[in-house]
Amino acid sequence: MRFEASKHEEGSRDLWGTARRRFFVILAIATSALLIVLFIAPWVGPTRIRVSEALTDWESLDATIFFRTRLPRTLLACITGGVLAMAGVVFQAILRNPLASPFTLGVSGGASLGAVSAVALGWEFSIAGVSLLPAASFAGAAAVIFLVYGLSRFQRGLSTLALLLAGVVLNYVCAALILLIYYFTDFTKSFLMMRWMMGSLEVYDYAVFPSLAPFVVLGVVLSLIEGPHLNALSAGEQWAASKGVEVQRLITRQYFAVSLAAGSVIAFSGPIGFVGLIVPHTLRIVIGADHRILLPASFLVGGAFLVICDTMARTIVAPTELPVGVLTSALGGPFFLWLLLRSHGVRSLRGFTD
Amino acid sequence: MNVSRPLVYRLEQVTFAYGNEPVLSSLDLELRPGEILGILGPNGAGKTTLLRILGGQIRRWSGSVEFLGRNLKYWRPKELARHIAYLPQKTNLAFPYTAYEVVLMGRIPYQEASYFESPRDHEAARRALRLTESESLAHRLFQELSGGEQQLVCLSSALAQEPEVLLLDEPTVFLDLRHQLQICRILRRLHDEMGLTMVLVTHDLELAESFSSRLLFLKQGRALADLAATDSPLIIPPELIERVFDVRAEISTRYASGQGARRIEVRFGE
Repeated sequence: MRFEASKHEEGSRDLWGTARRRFFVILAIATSALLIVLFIAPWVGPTRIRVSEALTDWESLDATIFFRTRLPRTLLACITGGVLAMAGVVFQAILRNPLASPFTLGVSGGASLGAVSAVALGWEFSIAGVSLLPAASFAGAAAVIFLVYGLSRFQRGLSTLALLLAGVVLNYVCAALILLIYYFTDFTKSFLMMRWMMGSLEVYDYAVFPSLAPFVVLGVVLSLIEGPHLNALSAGEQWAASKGVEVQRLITRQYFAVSLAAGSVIAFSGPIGFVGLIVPHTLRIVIGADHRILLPASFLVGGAFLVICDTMARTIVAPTELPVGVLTSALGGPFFLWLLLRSHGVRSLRGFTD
Repeated sequence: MNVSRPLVYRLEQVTFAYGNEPVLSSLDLELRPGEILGILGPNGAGKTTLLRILGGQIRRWSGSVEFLGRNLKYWRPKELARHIAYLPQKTNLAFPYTAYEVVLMGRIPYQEASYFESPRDHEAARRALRLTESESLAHRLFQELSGGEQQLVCLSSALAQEPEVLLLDEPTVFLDLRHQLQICRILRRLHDEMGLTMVLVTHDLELAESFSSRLLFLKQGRALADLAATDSPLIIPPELIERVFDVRAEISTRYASGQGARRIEVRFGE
C-alpha cells in the first residue's frame, strides 16, 4: 500500500506542477504560430509583391502595397481577432455562460447604431485626423456599455443576470433603431451601412493603432492579471467569494475593460462574429480551462485565426473580396464541430449542460 | 473546551434584512475554537444568511460581528479566506477543470502577488487531497466525477485554504449513503486531529445531533434555543422540534442487540 501511494505521487509529480510549464509551452507554440502567420499573410494577395523590391525600394509599388495596405490590415486583423477572442473568454467567464460572446451584452449593437447613424448623417469624412465613423461607432458602443451597467445596478448590487438581461434587451433596441434608420435612408447609404455591419478590416494607414492602443492594452492587461480569479468564478460567485475573490469588483472591472476593448476594435472593423465564440471553445477543448493560459492563448490564436480568414477573404474571389465575417463562420464552424464530435471534445464540454 | 483561547466568533445584536424583509434579528452568538455548531431551523429562518455573514460574504449587517477578536468588516477578503473555508451543498463548474485544478483554487487566498502556484501551494493541495482520501481523483475532470467525489474534491479545495473554521452548508444533502458517511468521518477526523471549528447548516436532525457539539435553533431570524453538549451527548428535546418546525415530534428508542438507537420521529400536525 505504501509503495503504491508513493508511486502514485512519483508518477504524477510532473503533472502536479505543470500550470507554469504549460503556460510557457503553450504560449511559445501559439506565439510562433501567430508570428509565422503574420510574416506570411501580408505577402499573399491578388497582386504579387516582390520581396526584394518591397524591402529595398521604398518608392516602389510593391513597397506601397505592402506597407500601406497589407501590413496595417494584417496587424488590425491580428489585434481585432485577439481582442474579440479574449473578450469572448472573459464574457463567458463572468456570465458563466458558454454562449456569451463579445456581442452578447450589446457592444456590437451600440457600435453598429453609432456607425449607422454616422452614415445616415453623412459623416464618412474625418475632422482633424479623427475619422468620424469609427468615433461615432465607439461612442455608440460606450453609451451602451455604460447604460447596460447602469441598468444592471438599478437594484442593489450587481447581478450578472441583470447584466445579461439588460445587455440582451439593449441589443434588440439597437437592432430596432438600426432597422428604422436603414428603412428611411437611400440606397447608397443603406449599402454602406450593410457593408459596415458585415465587418471589414480595410485600413490604409497606421493611425488606427494609437487610437486602439489604450483600450486594447488596458483590456488585455486587466483580464490577464485576474486570470486566477476568473478560474474561481467558474464555480459560482459565492464559491469564488469564499476563496477571497472580490466578486463584484472583479466582474465590474472585467466588464468595462473587455467591453471597451471590444468596442474599440469593432469601431474600426465592424462586428465580426464567431471569433469570440469559436476560439475560446476550441482552446478550452485543446488546452483546458485555466484562464491564466486560456486568456493569452486566445489572444494569440484569435489573432492568427482572423489574419488567416482575412487573407482568404481578400484572395479567394479577387479582385473583389468577401466579407471576413462570412469566412470566420464558414471556416470556424465546421472545424469546431469536428473538434466537438470527437469524444474528448464532447466530454470536456459536458459541464455546460448542467 | 479551552476557555483561554480567544473566541472565534462573537456576534452581538446582529440584524440583517434583504430590503424591507428582515432575515435575522438581534442575534447573539459566541463560538469557541474547536466547537462544532449545528444550525437548525425551517426554510427561511436565516440559516444560510447567518452562514454567509460568518463567511464575510454578506457585509451589510448591523450590530457587531467579531472574528478572532477583530471586526469582521475590517478583514480583507483574501485574509479572511486564509482562516475561513466554505463547503456548499453542490458545486457546478461552468468550464472543464480537473479535480486538482479545483483543489488548487483553494490556494488563491495565498497568491497575493504570484500568478502561479508555489511548491508550497502544491504541497498544501496534495495534503488536502490526502486528508479527504481522494488523491486518485486528482487528474480526472471535475465534471466527470460522481456527486460524492465532487464533494470530496470541494472539501479538499476548502482544506487547501488551511482554514481554522469550516462553514458547511448542508454538505451531505445530495450524497449517497457511503459518501455521507465518508464525509462525516473525514470531517470528524479533521475536528479531532486538527481542531477545526465548524459551523454546519442542516435539515438532518440526526446528523446535527450526532455531529455537533452545540446546536442553534433559528426561527424567523431569531435564536430560539442554543443547546450545548456538556458531558452527556447532545439530545434535542421533542418539544423544541415542535416549536421550531411546527410539527408533532416524538422520540422512539429501539434496542437491537443491546445497542440503543434513538430516532426522532416527526409527524405533520398543527
